[in-house]
Amino acid sequence: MKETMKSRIFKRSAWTLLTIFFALLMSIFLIIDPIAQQYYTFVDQFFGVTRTVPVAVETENPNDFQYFTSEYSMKDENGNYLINDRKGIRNQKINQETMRAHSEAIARQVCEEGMVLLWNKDCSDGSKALPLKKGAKISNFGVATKNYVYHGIGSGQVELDENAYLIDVVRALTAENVGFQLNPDCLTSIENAGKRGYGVTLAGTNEMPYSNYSTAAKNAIAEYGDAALVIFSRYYGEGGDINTYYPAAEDGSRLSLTKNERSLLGSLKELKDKGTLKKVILAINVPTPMNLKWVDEYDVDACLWVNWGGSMGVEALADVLVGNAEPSGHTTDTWLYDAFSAPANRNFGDFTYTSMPNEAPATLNKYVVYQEGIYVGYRYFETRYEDVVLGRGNASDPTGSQMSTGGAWSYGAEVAYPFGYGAGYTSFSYSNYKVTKSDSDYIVSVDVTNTGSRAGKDAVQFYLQKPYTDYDIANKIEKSAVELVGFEKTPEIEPGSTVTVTSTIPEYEFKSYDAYGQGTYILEKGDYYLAVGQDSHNAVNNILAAKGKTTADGMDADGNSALAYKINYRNNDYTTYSVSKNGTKIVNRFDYADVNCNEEMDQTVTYLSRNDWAGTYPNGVSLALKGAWNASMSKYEKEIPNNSEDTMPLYETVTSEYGKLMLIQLRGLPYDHPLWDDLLNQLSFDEQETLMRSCASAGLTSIAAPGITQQDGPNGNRSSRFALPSEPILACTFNKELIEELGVVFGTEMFTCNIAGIYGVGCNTHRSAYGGRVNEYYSEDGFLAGTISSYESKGMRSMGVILFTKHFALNDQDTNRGVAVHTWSNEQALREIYLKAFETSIVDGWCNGLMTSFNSIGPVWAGANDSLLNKVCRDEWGFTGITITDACGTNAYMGGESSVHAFANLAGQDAWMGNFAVGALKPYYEAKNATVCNSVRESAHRILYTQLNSLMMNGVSTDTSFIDITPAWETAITAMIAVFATLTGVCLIMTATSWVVWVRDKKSKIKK
Amino acid sequence: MKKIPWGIIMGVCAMFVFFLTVGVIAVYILLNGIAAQTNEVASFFGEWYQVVMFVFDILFFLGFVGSVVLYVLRETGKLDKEEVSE
Repeated sequence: MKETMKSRIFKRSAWTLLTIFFALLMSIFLIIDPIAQQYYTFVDQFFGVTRTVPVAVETENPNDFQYFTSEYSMKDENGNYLINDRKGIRNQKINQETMRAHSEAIARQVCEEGMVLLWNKDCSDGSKALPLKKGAKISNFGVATKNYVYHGIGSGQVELDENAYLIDVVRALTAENVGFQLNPDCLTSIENAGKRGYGVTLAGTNEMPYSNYSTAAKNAIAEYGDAALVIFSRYYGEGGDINTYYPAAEDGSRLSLTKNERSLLGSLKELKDKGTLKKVILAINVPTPMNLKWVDEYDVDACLWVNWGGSMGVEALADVLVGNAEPSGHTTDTWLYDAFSAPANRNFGDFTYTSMPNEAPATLNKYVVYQEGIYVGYRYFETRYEDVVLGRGNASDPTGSQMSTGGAWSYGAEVAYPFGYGAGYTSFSYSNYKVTKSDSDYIVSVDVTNTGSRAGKDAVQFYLQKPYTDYDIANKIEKSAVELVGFEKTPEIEPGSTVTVTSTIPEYEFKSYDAYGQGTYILEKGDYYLAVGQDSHNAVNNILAAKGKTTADGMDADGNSALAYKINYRNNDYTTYSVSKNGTKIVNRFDYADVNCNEEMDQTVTYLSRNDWAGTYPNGVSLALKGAWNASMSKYEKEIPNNSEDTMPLYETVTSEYGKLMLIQLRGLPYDHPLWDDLLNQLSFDEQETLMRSCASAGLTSIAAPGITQQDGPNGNRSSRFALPSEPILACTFNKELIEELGVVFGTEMFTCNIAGIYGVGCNTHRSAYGGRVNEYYSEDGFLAGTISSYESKGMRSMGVILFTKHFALNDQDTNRGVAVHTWSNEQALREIYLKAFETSIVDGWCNGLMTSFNSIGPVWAGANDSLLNKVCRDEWGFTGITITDACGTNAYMGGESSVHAFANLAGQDAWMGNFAVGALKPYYEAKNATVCNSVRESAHRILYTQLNSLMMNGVSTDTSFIDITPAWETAITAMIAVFATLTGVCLIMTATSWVVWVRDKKSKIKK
Repeated sequence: MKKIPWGIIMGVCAMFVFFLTVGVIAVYILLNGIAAQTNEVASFFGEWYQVVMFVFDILFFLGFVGSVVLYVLRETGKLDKEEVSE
């Protein structure tokens, strides 16, 4: 009996297995722990935890310390703000209902004003296809009727409140103010489509063909035949680009209609031809222009680009369909019959160096070349069109044709809808166009008359044409036929009424970047045209008309010469714009990113030039990475300087005449006030380094700095589960004031949840329609993107928000971003196209944070790029905000090694999103590297300055002190590790004992 | 049959069943969160890796049940008798 008990207790296999089991569990938590520590900002946010919390202090006038307030903040009978009393949360109590009602109203208005009516045909009864009559009887088609896409996956995702905002299309279309009657059997068929494998998923759209609708549904179409409402969607987002090879579509593109979508439209056309259906309405629920090859095949009566509208998108769609609201949006990108008409797509996606230097990491072997130069989007199509009309630059040559036939490139064959286009339910005409000069600005005004039968708003656009000169040809400066330089949204204009629209165009916009000649911005002599247009093409035609051209010269429509104003500059000016607005000399900073200027590359790239469209059209560049410097920039270990003229800063020393300072005491002081030095002198190196970890989120109790709570996503506050419209819709509105108000809404939603930092807005360029994150960026045009982002940022800043505007810079594709894709571009394109939006928001003064991108500029990672972060962003543009990295993961080129952190910090990087261990920079402090220590100190300065001017300081007075707390989840992880470690240890001892017992028993048995 | 270590097989299978079940549920929750945003629900078998995990989960579960049965039979002596009768 005793032996049996012993053998059961010392069961070797059982203890061995238990040891393995508990060791595995312990290992899992040991892996989770450092990852959670790296990204503790997000975990804290998930659990609603704040680490640095104030010790409550009674103050006589608490209102004095509310630096940011909302009109929805609640007050007591004495007029004092009511403060949330949850531990660690100091924000004002908000009247949630009225706040949210306002948020919904503004978001809905943005969706409506950002919805673009692409076409709206006349019906047989003389009316237009849209709007539909209230109470119209409709048959719904398209699986997106059920799988409607509200926003993209990844950073742009906001998990919607299922009850409040994840409303289905049916609910919106049958709402009381819309009142459509829907074919119930069609809806049943769509509801059941998922069971048969049809639906909209990340993998693709599998549309249900008409044949698979139930017989009852088909039979009821005649009764519900006022219109067929078809919704087509695509669902994608961060992490990859949109498939350019997609078997479900006949031409293999995910931006084209799939075979089933075509089949469905074909069937509906047959029903319309038979008279069963009166009209077919199509809603495109995609944030990027679709390929419109099919546009003439199916006789679709009206088409709305509804985009991804967030929480209010579906209701806005219903409003527009029934005519409760006007779709006054205009396109932010050029709509093509085939996206491959755009030259950028010849160099988009996955390119691998043909060879690499041995010392360069073999995994960082991807590149992309912006061979099209400045000719992105409309800049290419409108410029080539003008050159066709003017008969220059081999513009008519078929090279680059995707859709053109007859041996000549044709604008009309390639472009379906130009940039800035929007049909709307009414029409407008322009007259009395005037341009006057005022100091360094041009004041433009135009009378806008509503010539239609409905009240509506118009987006008046002002375009500039710069002269294309012999100097440009000699120095490889490219000039677009038109560039957007101003826009205004009119108020609602009644039919027959006229309003005068005025805008200011700074001469600053007339400059061009001369990378190969003067190496700075220049203002050339010659004829400039300032034109007003309803879209980019209309503006070009107006300029061509001013040059005396007509349809007889090959124009596709006559322009109005009265809407283009010629300005002549008699002399070249190489100095005025060679210094930035803050007086910094502007010189070439990105020669190394231009293959033709990077001597070590020893290769040349032909950039697209209007001087010879045929001879320079991009063909997909094949490159080898060459040169020791280029290789060294890719290496993980970096050489870190220690300049002899730098002196070690002071640490932990009180130097202020006011004694020990608290952060709040510096509120209201400028960035360069001497007291900042005193405050920084008080900090230890460890404290300064702590600020750089985890996206600058940490607080410092020694100076009562609360830290920065933050969240991902440019499309709304995730905590409130209320999604705002995606970025392209914002730009489609062309309404600066409305977007500023949306910024206030965004800021208020964050303010309510006490979240100060947001990883947005997105200012990259829609270089290709296949970009996977087009929904997070505004437009193909930097001026439009910059202006809209600036106004949105302004609104958000009014609520104390820190915007980490992203992804700085040239992160225009997601393919290979994780391997630091080397992005090669000439400096003119870099500055005029890709940095333009960031520049606008920073120079306007509203951008106070930047997120650097995964990719490299040339061979230099954007996050460790001195020319980008220090020379251009901070020196030229005067940026004093924080820079943070994108999520580093374990990418060696973004961190891990101390030298990478030091190198990037010296290049202007302030804070890391992961991959930055405690003490990562300590070796440089211990080695008394004054260069690095001063750089770390300056980062601490920027982080604290930005934090001080954010909503984080609400409720903080000079009497407020903070304590650090350990969040419960951290304690829980530690406890789990301890428990499993103990169990593993106990089991291990028992395993060892059982083996000893077994060996002893074995020996004793042998003896016996 | 008597020499096969059913106890060890049972323990190994139990561990795989535990971790695979946790994995299957975690993946489902993740995918369901994504699908919910387009008014859809995720399935346990929507992706190939879900199917693979589930199949292995079932196989290990069957292995676990089988090894438990055989272990119990052996421990209670029935397996010995069968082998003797054979």
